[in-house]
Amino acid sequence: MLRRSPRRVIDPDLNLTSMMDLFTIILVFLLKAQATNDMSLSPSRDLVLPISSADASPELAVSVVLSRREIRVDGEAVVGLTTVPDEEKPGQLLVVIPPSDRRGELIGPLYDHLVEKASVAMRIGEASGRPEHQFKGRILLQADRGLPYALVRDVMITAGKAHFGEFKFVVLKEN
Amino acid sequence: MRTARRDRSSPAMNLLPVLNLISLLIPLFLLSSQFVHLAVIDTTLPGPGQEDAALALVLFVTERGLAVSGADAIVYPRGGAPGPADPSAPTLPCASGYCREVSDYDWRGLTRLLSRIKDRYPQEEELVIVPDARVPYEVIIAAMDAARVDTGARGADGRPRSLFPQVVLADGAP
Repeated sequence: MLRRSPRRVIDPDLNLTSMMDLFTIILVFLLKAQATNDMSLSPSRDLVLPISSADASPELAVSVVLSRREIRVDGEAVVGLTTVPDEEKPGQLLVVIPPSDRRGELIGPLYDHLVEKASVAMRIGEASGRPEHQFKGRILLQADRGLPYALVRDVMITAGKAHFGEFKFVVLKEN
Repeated sequence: MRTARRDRSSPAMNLLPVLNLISLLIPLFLLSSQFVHLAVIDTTLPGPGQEDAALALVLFVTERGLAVSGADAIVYPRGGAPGPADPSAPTLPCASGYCREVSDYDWRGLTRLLSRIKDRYPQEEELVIVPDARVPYEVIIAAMDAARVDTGARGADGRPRSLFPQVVLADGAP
């Protein structure tokens, strides 16, 4: 009987032990670092939030983002902003609301949008009857650090007239 | 009878399913992990039903400095009649007469002044901030920070002393 030496089949066995070590350690680290909040709030990309020593956590609320280019409510662009030269300080620019969007002291499109959101939220609260679903008039305001107070004030006045009286300014926690 | 020799070496563990699972979990956790920590500051607009606090503490934030007004002489460290403050004469003026950056304002001076006022009125918690129209948003946030806690002192519970955490933003000068 011919005895053939068994052909050596080189089985390319991928040694996964070190990769498993790596993945397990990364996984444990990420599990530990996983923060569970009731809402996931990521800062908008086209603005820089101011830094603050505040440490209260964000809660579920209507999100209004005030960047240098536009105002967004819950992700939807509502009002575009324009940059005009500052009359009182030549050479500097000021971010303002276009006059066509103004309705007296209110910001027209923003007011309409917020009134609609408020009425939907109030109807939901009434239909549900449970205290946690009641409309609280809360707004999470993210604004770029360099915006003039006049703009923030106008947004707050508009939101106040649209039944949103509770403002929470979102800030970066300082280390 | 020859017993067949048992293959004593245990079979190699098939790690592929575990690797599969881990390679799904890691991107999921990476995407949802927070590298930037956010916080919120509560504030309100002036409402019609607000009682006038005995102190009626108001902080004017202008481009030339900070002016504090209240119903007590302690608010005016250099003397002066209590009453509506003149924002054009800031209690805590900017170093060069004009503040360009957030850091140009005398926040520590403000915290010290508010701490003295708090010593006198420990029950008062409300502060009205009246910024000028052109004051940047981050200056207002810094004013709230300076007025919220005094990190240099400890309160009764061992934490930094709380000064005036309730802030009302009022309509500033146009």
